[in-house]
Amino acid sequence: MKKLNIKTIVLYCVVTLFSMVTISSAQGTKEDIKIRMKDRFAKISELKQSGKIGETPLGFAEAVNKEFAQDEEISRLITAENNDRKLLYGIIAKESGTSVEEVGMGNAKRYFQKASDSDYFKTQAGEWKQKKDMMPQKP
Amino acid sequence: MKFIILIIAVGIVVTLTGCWTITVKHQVEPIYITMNVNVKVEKQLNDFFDFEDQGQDGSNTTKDKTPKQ
Repeated sequence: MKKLNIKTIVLYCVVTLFSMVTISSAQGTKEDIKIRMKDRFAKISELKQSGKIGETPLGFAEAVNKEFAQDEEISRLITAENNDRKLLYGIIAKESGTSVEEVGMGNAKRYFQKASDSDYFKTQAGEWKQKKDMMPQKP
Repeated sequence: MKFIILIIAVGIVVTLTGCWTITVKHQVEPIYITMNVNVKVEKQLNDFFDFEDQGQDGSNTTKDKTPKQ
């Protein structure tokens, strides 16, 4: 009876561990993240163009003001997007031998380069500005 | 006396030369490594977000809306 109990416990532990690994790897592979972000991309772009969400210096999406942050759909989208970005930055950081912050800042820079002039970006001081107002003025 | 002065002079020269070598090494290597990592990260990000350039970008839609002459 004692042996059976130990066997059951060991089996339970193995099954639990296996399912945990399976679940985490299913959510965290680059391809899975890419599929989810691709599905969300059109909506995120639309919100960026309408000036409701912007990019932070650490490479995360954020609502530009409190009113938009309280919108349930926007809030849900931002959370899902940032969760995937966090996972992605972690994977790239591990592969490149750098930090998550470094990857995030690299992505923020990439977003800035690709953004249109009306897109919003958060400055280091925490202020939201449109890209056109952050560019050096031409003489 | 001359011999002692010579030893001290050689000692100073050797010490200074040693310091220069250490300074140069510490300045060059981190820059090289950082650049290498940045390029690697940039490439990985560009590869991952390739779908953004495949006609899904809203800004392209805006461009398409402009009337053709």
